[in-house]
Amino acid sequence: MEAIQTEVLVIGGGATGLGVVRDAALRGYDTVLLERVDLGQGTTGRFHGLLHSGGRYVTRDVEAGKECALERDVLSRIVPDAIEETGGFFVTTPVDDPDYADAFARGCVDAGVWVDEIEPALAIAEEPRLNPRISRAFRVKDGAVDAWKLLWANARSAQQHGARILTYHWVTSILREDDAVTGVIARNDLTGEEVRIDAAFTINASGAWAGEIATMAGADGVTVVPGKGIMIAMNHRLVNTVINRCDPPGDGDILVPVRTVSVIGTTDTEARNPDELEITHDEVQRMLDAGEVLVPGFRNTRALHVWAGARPLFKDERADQSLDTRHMSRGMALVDHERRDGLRRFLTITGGKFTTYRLMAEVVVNAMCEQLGDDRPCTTATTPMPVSAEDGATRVGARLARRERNLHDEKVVCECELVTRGLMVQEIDRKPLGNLDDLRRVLRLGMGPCQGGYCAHRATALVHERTDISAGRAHELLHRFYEYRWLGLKPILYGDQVRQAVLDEWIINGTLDLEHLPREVSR
Amino acid sequence: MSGTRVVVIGAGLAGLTAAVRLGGQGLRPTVVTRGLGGLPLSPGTIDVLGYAPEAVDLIETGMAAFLERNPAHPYAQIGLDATAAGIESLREAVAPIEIIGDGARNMLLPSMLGGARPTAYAPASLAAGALRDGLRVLFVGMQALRDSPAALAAATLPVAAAAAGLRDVTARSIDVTTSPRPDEPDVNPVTMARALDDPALLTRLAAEVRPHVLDVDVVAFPAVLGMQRHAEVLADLRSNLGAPVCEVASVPPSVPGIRLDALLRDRLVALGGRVTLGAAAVGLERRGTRVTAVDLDRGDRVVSMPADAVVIATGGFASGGIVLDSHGGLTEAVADLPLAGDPGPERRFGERASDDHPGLAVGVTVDAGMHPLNPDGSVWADNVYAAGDIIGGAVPWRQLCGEGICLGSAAVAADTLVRELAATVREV
Repeated sequence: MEAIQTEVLVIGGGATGLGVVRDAALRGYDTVLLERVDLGQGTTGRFHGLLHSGGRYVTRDVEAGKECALERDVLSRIVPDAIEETGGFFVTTPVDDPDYADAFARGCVDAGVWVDEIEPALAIAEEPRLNPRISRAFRVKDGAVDAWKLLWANARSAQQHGARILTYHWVTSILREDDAVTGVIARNDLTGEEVRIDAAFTINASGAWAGEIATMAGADGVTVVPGKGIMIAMNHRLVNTVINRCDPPGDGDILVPVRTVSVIGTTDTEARNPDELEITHDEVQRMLDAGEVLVPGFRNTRALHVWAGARPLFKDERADQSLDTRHMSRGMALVDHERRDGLRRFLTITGGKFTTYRLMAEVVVNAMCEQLGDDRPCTTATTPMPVSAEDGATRVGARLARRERNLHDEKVVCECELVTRGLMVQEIDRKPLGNLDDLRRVLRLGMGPCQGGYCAHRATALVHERTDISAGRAHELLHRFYEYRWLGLKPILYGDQVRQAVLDEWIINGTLDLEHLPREVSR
Repeated sequence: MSGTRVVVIGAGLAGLTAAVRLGGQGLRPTVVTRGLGGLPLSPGTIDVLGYAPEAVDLIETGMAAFLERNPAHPYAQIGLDATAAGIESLREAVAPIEIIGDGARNMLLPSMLGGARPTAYAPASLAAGALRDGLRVLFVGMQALRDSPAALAAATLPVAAAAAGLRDVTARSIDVTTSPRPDEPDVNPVTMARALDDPALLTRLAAEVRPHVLDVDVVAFPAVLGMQRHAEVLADLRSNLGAPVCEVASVPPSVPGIRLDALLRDRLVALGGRVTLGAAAVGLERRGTRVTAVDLDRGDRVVSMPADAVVIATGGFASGGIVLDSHGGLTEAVADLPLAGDPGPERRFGERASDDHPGLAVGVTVDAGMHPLNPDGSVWADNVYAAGDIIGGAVPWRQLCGEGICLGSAAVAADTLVRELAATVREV
């Protein structure tokens, strides 16, 4: 069995885990991160892309509002390329509680969240598709963030400081010596081989799965409730500013312009298992109704894809154990296992939200330093992250601009998202054992209107060309890619997207006869 | 009957074939269409029944067993004789492109990814690739095209052919760089096909391929071998390479589909018919049991086009003939014709992409004369006929039966229309 020695082992490759590994690496620790699938494959890659101004929380959780207000500014300084500064509006629509606006404005002041009330007519002039019957409008500092881009930047930053990031590594057991956690055994799912990692300190940053990991370490009863939220990407930018309903947090109260789409979110229901998040017809209908309130005619626009994420909501024994998880703390939960379970060299960080992931990392690494007796200050808030060479800033049109410049140099593989052959080859060569979804997360392959109908077979042929996989394995990759895409298509098939789905059927089965191609299933 | 006004709604394979067949019987139909029709998106093969769901070899036997299990399938009303009649209309219309196949058994054609895809009839350029025991294929990949995965096709074909029961099919591949626009990384297949009409470029392509034509029974090219001069391009390439040449059907835009589309339109115009683009049919005007006019949305206004008979060939979900709205409501787009076969909102789509999606088989029900029917089985209107994918009960992209339904229903619709119109005129 391969053996790796490290000082700090981080479990979980979402925003929190990557934040932690970067933080520890920047403080000079030798670090390893394990992720069971691909980076951002869990909750981080399944949210609406909103960089919170903090306004959403000011009436319920002033601390959370404060943290967001500070952290959104930190992120826009250290990783500007992953963020589009769209700005945001909180608007009072005809169905919202008219008294909430004043409470909201007061809350913003209390929490230090920047806010500026403007004439509703001005908001409508800026966003002409907004419901013309809004009665109040507040400008806030919301932004849109490309979660994956931010993750890769984080990973690169950590790697530059020596971090080893191992994806497709499942933790199968946690090693203990007496009352201390000393590392883990993990299985590399791409090779089937086991690896042993000995670590001086282990940080559990596995989000909605943190309870599972804590139990493996012998710390029972750490309960993390997966709070399911669904989001729908609508074709085109219906708005260029983040739109929030000025009302107590509810379903479908946020519309976020992200790159070429607008994302409506979200719901909040308690799920049993973060790996099995069903998207129901009713939930989709609620999102579309909510969209109508913000942007009349919303139902006539084209839905591209729907997904569900599992917020990690730490269940504090002292809090109200009501089933409505929205009222639970959204703040971070740091579990000190030494105090709680008598388990040394092991900390759990969970809860929280994307916007404050860097702060969560700082908090847990501070706690680790304290336990280790090290005086090493956090530098993540002031150290910029290395930008990707790929396509510059996260703004609509960035890829198009690049395409225009290089019209005669690069072949396009995915027309919707303008993914070039060069980008594909670079990624395939970097991760030759990857699947098409890994490529999608990095390059946005198949995420546009056709949802892979035109590009997935091209990507497959390219993987076959660049690696030594068999034809049967290539067709299995293609088959699986369509199956994964389908999960996010089935619940929103109506209007133009059902037309697209049938055209894709004509291509995939009617022309390419995919279901009858020889396929080889591997691990 | 030359003064009668017959309107065909839709310019896909069903609409154009119905119109050509009407034209052949002395009528001068007007085809009204919102867009370009589906043929340019179709691979160009004429599928009758490929999978039932097992691969179909003998079509008549396969069809009989299939219809026993699927009594609501459109073929139960159309019948194979009508499909054969539709094929004949197509054959006449698209000459000089020769349509190969006798309708008795399916041939297996190499697909773009190297599968062995069953089809009943195909244009000669595609049919030349029909798989047989011992066939040695050279796939030519063209680097200028986005969809030309020759290496993957060559790696796949032997396995796929063996799985389909063929022995010793082998394949190799080469990639060539010939392009009409060497400075551009991407050339559209339509551009490529037009460019290869030029003998100079074709000679360059042949020169690049020729050294590799050794121990090869057929050289398989992307489906871009000429547009206007397609037949000459094929013949030139064959003699230049000294080996049989075939095209491999491709994803949209599909040059074989575009060729058929153009020839059908030319034939229709030659017969005195016409095609009116940008005219979305949005309603039918009724008087009693007959329709008297078609309402057309011309963008700035809705106009009424008088009609003595109407063929609705607007297609299914893909073309917008049938609409599923955001509340889950299903509607036939032109006249709100009754739809059948809806399994209900919860069961329209399967859990997996590869499942059957019964909701996509929703469509209009017809009688043996292709009259759309009411739920009680009565005829919706005496002078309205349906043809093509708007007829429910089929999953054509899985069953590989789309063109057979289009052609068969178009033939029946046109023939019934002519017969009934003649009877009406006599009555008057």
